[in-house]
Amino acid sequence: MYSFLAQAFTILISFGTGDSLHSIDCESELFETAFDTNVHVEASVSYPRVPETTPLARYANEAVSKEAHELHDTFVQEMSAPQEELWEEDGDERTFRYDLNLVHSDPDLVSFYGLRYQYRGGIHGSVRYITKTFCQQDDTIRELSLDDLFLPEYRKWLFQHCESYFKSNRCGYYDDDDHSWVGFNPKDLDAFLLTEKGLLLLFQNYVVSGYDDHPTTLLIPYNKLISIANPANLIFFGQKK
Amino acid sequence: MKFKKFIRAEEGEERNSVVYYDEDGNKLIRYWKRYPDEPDDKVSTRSWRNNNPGNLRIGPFARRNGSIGEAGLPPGSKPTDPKFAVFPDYETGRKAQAKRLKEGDLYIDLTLEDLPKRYVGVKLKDPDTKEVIDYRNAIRKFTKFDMKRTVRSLNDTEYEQLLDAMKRHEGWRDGREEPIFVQKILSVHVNSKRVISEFLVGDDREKQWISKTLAVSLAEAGRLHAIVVHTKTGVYLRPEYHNTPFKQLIVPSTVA
Repeated sequence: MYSFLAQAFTILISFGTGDSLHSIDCESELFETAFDTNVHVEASVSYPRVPETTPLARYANEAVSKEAHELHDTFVQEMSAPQEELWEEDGDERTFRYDLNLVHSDPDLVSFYGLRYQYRGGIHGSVRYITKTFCQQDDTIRELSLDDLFLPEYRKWLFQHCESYFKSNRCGYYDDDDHSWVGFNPKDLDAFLLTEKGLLLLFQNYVVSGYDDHPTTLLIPYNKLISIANPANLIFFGQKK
Repeated sequence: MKFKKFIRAEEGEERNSVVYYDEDGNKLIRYWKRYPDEPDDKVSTRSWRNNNPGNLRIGPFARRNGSIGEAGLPPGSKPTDPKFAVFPDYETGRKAQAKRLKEGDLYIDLTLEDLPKRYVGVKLKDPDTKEVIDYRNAIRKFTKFDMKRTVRSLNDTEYEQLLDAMKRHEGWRDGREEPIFVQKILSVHVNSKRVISEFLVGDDREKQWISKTLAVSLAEAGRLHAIVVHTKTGVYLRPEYHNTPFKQLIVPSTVA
């Protein structure tokens, strides 16, 4: 079932020194599926619809909608078959929640932040934080990745910067004197947002800290990133400063 | 003052906080942040706030094994989705996790290699997720056990080591606690018009006479076992339900 609802203006996460990420008010699309096999299955999806005043907005809407539907359909399909590995006291339901919010919108750049929560059995569910940034340069529209923003070998620099920060501030797992067991590596750098204050990196649960109610974040001011920035895409840093 | 046994817990009013209630109605609040602007990467963990080192969801098992409430909706969940179990103390939470892995047949015969998969809800036949790989590596590095061993094969000491490893990987960081002791009304003084003028508050060890005004303030702040009643003619206190009527607590005033 589809319906359009106005999104409330809410603080999604706080980061840096007193900054926070807000959702931008816009229409959103919501649909839910519920059925029973040998477990009760619920899947709900909510994502924003950016006003389609530009080709970029149309592109972003399509991409977001496509991913949301694919993830929903995959979960529903998997749960359509009776579930194995059941133990009645684990809870006899399976849950999928996908919730995305618009956090930035201008004619050249649109960004989303949200998360996917799944409970597929086990002790507790699993959360994955999602970020998406779409841009338009001349006639080209695409989703931006960190690889687009930086020169080759940037991951090593970013990783060292993050790890150094976490160690010196004893964040998350780095609060422990022995952090040789921490699995954080350069490949874990994927979720990001371009904020007014700088590049905001988001870390999934169990990467630099355990399971919690919010993602661990690290804000890196743009001026610290100039040496590794891809000159062709410096505009994105300049725009947001 | 000391807390008696905690018998109930729930979400606190302040974001991400948890409130524990003991048998006397005294409260212990565990906060997310020590101070309002504390960076998110320094805050206390859900596991600590809930006394739940394994981050067990609320459900029949947790309730049967000492959980006294639930708090902390997983991000993105609906209000009706299960929250995390809250245990009265760390030992009870730890025992519940220990029992969870050995009760039934879901975990006990798994190898340490496979344990993280089922713990986080990935089917054994499905490919490893990054979450599973990191969990497994943490167990391997902490315990140095052969990962082909099963949960069942671990002796008591080894099993505690496994639980320690899982606690560290789930995350455990303490934070700010605020004890709020709710005083009892032990006696009252009445004036010549038979109107209550003073309350004796405290417990068997510590007690003091306080004015009616102060008693009302304490009750409004949730620090006195009494109900504040506002009327057109003023404010007065009455006992909580099932408590002794104030009439029976009247003692004569000592004249200096």
